[in-house]
Amino acid sequence: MKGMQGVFTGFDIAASGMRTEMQRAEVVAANVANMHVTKGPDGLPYRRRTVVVEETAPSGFAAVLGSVGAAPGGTRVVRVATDTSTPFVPRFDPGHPHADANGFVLMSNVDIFKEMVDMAVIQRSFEANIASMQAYRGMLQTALQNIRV
Amino acid sequence: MLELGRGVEAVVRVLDAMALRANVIAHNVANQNTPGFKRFEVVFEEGLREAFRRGDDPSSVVPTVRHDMSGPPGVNNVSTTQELAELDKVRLLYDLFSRRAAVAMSQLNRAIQSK
Repeated sequence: MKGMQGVFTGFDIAASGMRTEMQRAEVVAANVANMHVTKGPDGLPYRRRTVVVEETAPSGFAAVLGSVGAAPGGTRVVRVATDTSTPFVPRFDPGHPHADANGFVLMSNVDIFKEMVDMAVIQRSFEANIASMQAYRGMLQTALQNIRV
Repeated sequence: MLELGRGVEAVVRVLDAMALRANVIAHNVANQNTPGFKRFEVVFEEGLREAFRRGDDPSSVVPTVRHDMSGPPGVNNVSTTQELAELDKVRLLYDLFSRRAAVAMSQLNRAIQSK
């Protein structure tokens, strides 16, 4: 169906949003789970991961009606990046096997409060996508009920 | 020639526009956390009003998608609550106009069936 918007495109778009939020939630969970890792495979503490999200088919809608075609729009996770801009936090713990000569252990750069706030935002965003999916569903349902031949 | 389908045509146009708007809103909501994203909106009512004012055929009005670049550059301008409110409005209009389409079609049906 070229030049036509699929009837179920709205579902796909909302689903892409939900998928992205889920992936974001997974990364937050990974950050929280690894926040106390002082030595990873590279010999350094765990680095906080961030998700790079991108809009799909950004110019798709801008054209005339229905030219979006195969790309329904929505959002996607491009990659998971590591946060190298915030430094590792040194903590004085001389008894720790990973402590340096001065007794400091480098802790991961995960900030638990930041992660918790991110998680709350993700949860609400997920719900917003569900709400838009439900509204879309309601729309199609009323159309089916009303237009009966 | 009688233009029997004309009443339905305009209603279907509105339904099309509302469906497109629902998709655009879903796209905005899905990108509410995408950095630098700028929301899209469907421009339709203005065109319809203009067509009525000029006496043009309302079914000739085509909804267009506008990229709303408001807000500081590089900053996401989606307000989720606003989008969801808009979506609710779309839903109601879709309901209303699908009823209108049903009425138009049942009238047509009656005209066909009665001798």
